[in-house]
Amino acid sequence: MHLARVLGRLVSTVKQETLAAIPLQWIQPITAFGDSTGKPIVAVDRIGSGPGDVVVYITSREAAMTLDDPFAAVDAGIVAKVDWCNVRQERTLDA
Amino acid sequence: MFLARVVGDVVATHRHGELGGRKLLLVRRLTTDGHEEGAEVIALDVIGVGVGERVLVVQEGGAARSLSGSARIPAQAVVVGVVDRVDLTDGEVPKEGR
Repeated sequence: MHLARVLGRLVSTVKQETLAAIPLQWIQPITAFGDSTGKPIVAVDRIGSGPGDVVVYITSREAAMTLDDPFAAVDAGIVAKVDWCNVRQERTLDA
Repeated sequence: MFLARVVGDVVATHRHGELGGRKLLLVRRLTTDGHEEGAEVIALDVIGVGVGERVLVVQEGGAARSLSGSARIPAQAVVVGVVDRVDLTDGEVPKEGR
């Protein structure tokens, strides 16, 4: 699991049926200090996050565990909205 | 599995229901000379570890499910042990990075 910032919502009307009615967010992986790391990815969002939010996401097979159908065709999913991070003595990414 | 250091934790009240109230640790992978590298990985805490400790992290959903006791938990990485020492052919991995 990793940290990411939500860049925006992705709208897709024609989707494979296991993805029907599931919100998709475009997210940029970041470090605990907010620096971008790697390329943006698209993740399913069952918790309801919005642009600018810092989130925890999960990848690979387990991403489908965020949905009702554990065999859904996804490889990234948002599992939590971050209030802040405690990194050693420092408070970072404070919402 | 990989060797990592606990650098902190993530506070997240709004989270996926199946995740429960478990602590989300921020860990960073360690190199053989004891340095942290790469972005933080978020791992569940099932044993109770503190910041600064060197730990063993398993990154596999099946392990997360069996260790957390939840068949539907959307988690991958779990801290499963505190590492006391790592012996190498030419010494050991220093505790505080060479």
